[in-house]
Amino acid sequence: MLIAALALAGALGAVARHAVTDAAGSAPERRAVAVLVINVAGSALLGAVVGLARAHGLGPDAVVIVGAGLCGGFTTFSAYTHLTVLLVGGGGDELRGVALRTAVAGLVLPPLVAGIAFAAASA
Amino acid sequence: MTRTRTASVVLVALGGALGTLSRYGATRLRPAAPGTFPWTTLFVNVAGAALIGALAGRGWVGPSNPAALAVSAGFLGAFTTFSALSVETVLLVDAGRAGAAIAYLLGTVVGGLAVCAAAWRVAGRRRSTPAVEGAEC
Repeated sequence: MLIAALALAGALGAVARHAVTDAAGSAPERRAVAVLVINVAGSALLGAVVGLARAHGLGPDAVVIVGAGLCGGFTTFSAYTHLTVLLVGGGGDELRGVALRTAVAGLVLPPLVAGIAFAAASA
Repeated sequence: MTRTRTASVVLVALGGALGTLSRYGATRLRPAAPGTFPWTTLFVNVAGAALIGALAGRGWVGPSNPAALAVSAGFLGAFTTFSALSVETVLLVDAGRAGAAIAYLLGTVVGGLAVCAAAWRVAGRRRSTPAVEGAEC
């Protein structure tokens, strides 16, 4: 039962992620920003879930379904590396600068908001 | 909803479910206690980055390939994770291991980018047609 719920949550997360990147259009630099937004939002949610589990008794099944399933399926590391390599390696100078800034933001912001959400939820 | 759009959703959902189950299976086989170094997530993310690089190098992940939706946006997108990377970094800091946290975060990102670029170059070497500059994610 848990495995079925986990699979469903992962599928939902992946479909939601694809809907967001699709809405951003086909230009890789726009998709990179969409992936950044997705990873920030999913990291914040997982930080809150793990904080609630630690301090307020949120159960382990909920952590698996929402955390490993929904947040894990929604956020992505493969698209982050794919788009960064594509844009930094293949773009012109102007695109490369934007891509580097997006990549650095994509490295720093998700753990930062996860930490804030974790601290707030476990208070 | 058009038939094509329905097909896309089904492909991404199927790949996403499989990717999520595979990642969860890996973390159950090699679990890392909270605050310890998350080797399993690091391995999952770096492996996913290498695979997407190889597929991109083969020109296989462009918008015209429906299977790319299932594999790239679906399976690899869900197999790899940024939320676990973020929260495990936070938990290392919370456990008083700030150095390990920075090593984990930077190790994953630098390692992932390096293997993605390397796999891309190696896979691209064997191609005769021009690369497709698209990304299904």
